[in-house]
Amino acid sequence: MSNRGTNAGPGSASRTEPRFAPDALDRRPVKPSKLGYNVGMLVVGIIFIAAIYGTGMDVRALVDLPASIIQYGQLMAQGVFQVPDETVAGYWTQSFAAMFESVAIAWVGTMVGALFSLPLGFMAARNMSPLPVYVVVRFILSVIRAVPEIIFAIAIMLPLFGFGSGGGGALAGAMALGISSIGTLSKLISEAIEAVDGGPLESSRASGSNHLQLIRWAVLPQVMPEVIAIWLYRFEVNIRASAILGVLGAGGIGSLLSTVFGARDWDRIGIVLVVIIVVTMLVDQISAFIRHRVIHGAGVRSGGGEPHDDDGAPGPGAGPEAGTTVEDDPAPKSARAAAGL
Amino acid sequence: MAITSGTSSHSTASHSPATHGASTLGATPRPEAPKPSGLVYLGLGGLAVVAFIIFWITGVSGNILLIPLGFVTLWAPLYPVIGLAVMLLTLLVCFRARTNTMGAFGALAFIIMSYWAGSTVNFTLLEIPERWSNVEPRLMAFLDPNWSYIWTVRDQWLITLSMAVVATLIGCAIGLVLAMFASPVSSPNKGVSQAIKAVNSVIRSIPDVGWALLFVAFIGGTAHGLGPMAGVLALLMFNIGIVAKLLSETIDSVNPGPVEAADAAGANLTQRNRLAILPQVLPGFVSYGLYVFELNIRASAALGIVGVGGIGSAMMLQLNRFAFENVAAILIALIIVVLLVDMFSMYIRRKLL
Repeated sequence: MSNRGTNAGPGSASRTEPRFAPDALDRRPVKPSKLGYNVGMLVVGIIFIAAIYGTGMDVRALVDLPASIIQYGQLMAQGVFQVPDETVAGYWTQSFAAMFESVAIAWVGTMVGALFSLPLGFMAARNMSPLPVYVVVRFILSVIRAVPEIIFAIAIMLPLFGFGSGGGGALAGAMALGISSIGTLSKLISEAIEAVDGGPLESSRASGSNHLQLIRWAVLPQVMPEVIAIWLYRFEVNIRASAILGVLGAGGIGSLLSTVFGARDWDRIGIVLVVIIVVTMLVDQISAFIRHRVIHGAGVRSGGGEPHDDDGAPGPGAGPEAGTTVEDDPAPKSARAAAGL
Repeated sequence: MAITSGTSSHSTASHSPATHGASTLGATPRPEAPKPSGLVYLGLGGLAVVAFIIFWITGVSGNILLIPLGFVTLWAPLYPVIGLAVMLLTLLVCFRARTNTMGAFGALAFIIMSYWAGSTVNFTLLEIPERWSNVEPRLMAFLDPNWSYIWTVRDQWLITLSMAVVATLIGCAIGLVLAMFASPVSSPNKGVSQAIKAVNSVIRSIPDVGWALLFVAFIGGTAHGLGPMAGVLALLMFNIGIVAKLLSETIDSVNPGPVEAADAAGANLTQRNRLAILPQVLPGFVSYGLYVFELNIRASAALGIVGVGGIGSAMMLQLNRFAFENVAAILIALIIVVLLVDMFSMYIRRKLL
């Protein structure tokens, strides 16, 4: 105190003498060993180089890449910006029709998935179902999640419903997407159910409700906004996933993509890509708006009216579920929800 | 958490407590949900009729509903009429349940969207029994896969795994940088952040197979060495989109304390991002990386269809030869590999985080 009082004048920043000889406590802390980190980095580096050799890819192709991107990019831009005459207008309508078919495929797929995912989600939630049911349903769901949707498409749906846009291919794609959606959707829904507030459950049990009444009056009102958000998320994912099924013959934008790329028709490729980007971003925006509205209610503005990617608080991403994460999957839930994005 | 209505002010006036008959004790009557305004519901009914007319005009189905009325027989297209009935019924239920306007509109929009999507994909399950004979041979092949074939495509598996590793590592690195620029917390200014976000949402909106076709075309073929190159580049774009989006959202929500401390200590932007933000998001980053690696395994198998090499190409070859027992072997191996990668990444995640 007294020291400070006397030395407080401006410019007199003289140091006070240390009262003790410096000992171990005054030394800077020892840096923790970085050995583990360095070894880890080294291993990753070795794996990386080995993997580059493993792909057998021709790195020299990269040298020509910028030139060809510019060249073909110009061709595509010419295609997009040319004055639409009869044929070009036809290309645009065809592209939009194919993209809307993709959206329809994704919607039907999401509906099929949603239909099954709600009951399965309840069966896979530990606080809602007995242990044997829980274990069996969890196992089935993890098998479904491990199977890529092209497998459902190739093995069952395409032969069952037929190929091509006209011949049932769209329905085949939708069913394949629907079946493979079940796994992720049910898992996310079961996690939302496991994270519900226990109060309403307890009070409805105390007032003598049976299991169905419990679900109807205590659980569903709590999880429904989140469930709707999860479904919409999957809808966005399915729009992108339907493209790969389209290449296999399931109709939609994927079929058109493989046709125009097969012909190397750069005008049309440019048009198709622009249509994909516009429609996908539009659907994402609408879906993000609805998700935000459903989760937060009206009146809560999403931050600052940003035009892009403004789904800062998606249902499955935010929330107190972190503590109740199930053992087989501690990945961030927003990452899970974006599966196949 | 409830879906609140922005237009509930319409309906509060119509709520009249007097109708309940005042009790002898003079207690206030039990509160009820306010009655929604009938006018708005009438408007929604009009919307349903407009949708019905559009369905009628654009519908291609020849199914016709005949309504005999004795002196004259009315006809109407079957499916649009069913659609209209469902829409009006839903509105009625919503009205009786006193759903607010926004909820009723949402239900109506849902039905219209579903009708449109269902009619676009010609949704029907009636053909399944007669077409089941097409599926049976394939399912039989799946139950009896050609196990010896699995070992002969091990090189293709190696290519697929390698592609996934390379794309994951490079994609995560680029994604980290982009995320740093995209989040307003860590970017130099708001303009940069908005621009990067716009670019990123364009990158994300093109599906992975679109990128694969694009790079195959750019590089000029799928000859030896060129296919995997195109595949890696396609997966790279796919990964950049995911990692940049997820990570920039993580950066948005970092604890501001360390950032402020770094600013107060006079750190420049690089130092601040390196020392105050990166350590906070590192666990999330590793986790996203492992997740993206899983996605890449599936995606690189799928992308083989467009000829970027790897196991997908081998599968497509067998599929075109109608050698279903070989396809079945590959698909089963794919499921096993995906499960193994899943377990491996779970192990790493547990070790690291």
